[in-house]
Amino acid sequence: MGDNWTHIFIPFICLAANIFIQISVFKFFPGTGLLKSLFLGFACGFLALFLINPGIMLASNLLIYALLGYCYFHFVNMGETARRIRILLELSEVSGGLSLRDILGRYNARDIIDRRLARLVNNGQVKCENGRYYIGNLTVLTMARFTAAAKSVIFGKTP
Amino acid sequence: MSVLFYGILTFFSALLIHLMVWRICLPKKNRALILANIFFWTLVLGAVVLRAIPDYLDYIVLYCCLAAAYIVSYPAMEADSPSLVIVRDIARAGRSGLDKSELYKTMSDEILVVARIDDLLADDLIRMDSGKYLLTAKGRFLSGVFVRFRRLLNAPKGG
Repeated sequence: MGDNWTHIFIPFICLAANIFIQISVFKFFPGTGLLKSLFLGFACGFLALFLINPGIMLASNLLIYALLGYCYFHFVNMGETARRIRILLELSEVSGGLSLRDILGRYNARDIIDRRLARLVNNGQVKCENGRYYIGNLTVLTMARFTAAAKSVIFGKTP
Repeated sequence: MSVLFYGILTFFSALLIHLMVWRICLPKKNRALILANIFFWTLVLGAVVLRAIPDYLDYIVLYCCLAAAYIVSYPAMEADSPSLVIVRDIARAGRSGLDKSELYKTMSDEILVVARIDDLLADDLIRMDSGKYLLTAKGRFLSGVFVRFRRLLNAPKGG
């Protein structure tokens, strides 16, 4: 271990700045949108990293910060899009539990498709013309292809 | 640079063990927990073998961040994200585009909701009692984290 190990805290301080900026922007400027607030928070943390990071540890701290930012993005994204979290939240609202029929009454496939299409259109990833949907930009499609490739490596199957 | 090299090398070693285990005998339940165990024990081994490297603490933090980033990404690879499936189906439709009704036909409650309820049961986050689904202590804790965070953001229920 090096003589001075305090630099290890720098990416965590920058992550705290990232989270603070993201929450503040989303809460007080709701028009910004969740995705933009996440990007803005990440960019501010990144800037802070460059300002306070000692040059010698830049590469590893940069990677550590990017990974921490990625984990935070995932945490926020889980609350926003994960179906399991949504089902848990539905169950947390009632004391006596919910039957499958009750759950599907609150949250179902049609609901999921409508929400996601609206989100994809809103972010410009998909466009809607005359009631038909087309690819808007390649970001999510690239992610979909990457995920399919990763899945085939891990599970040995393709979707 | 040794931090980056050894951190990434240890991470890829853990990834290789994970791929071997998954391809030889795919665990039936608690996959995320087994995955976390693989990454933890690889770290223990790496930390013992590489205890003499400079910036040892940086190496451990970097490895933990790489492992965390992979573990949070894993569920998206395991279960098909509806957004990615929608985008993939739209891309397959090509220039003729895709109508929403076609998505309703291919993505049912069984695939989008019931399969996730089964995952929650397998991971002991919910339990079944007299035909109703109830949160377990683990599920209550997890839903509590997201309820509080979404309240902090002033965000509605996701999904």
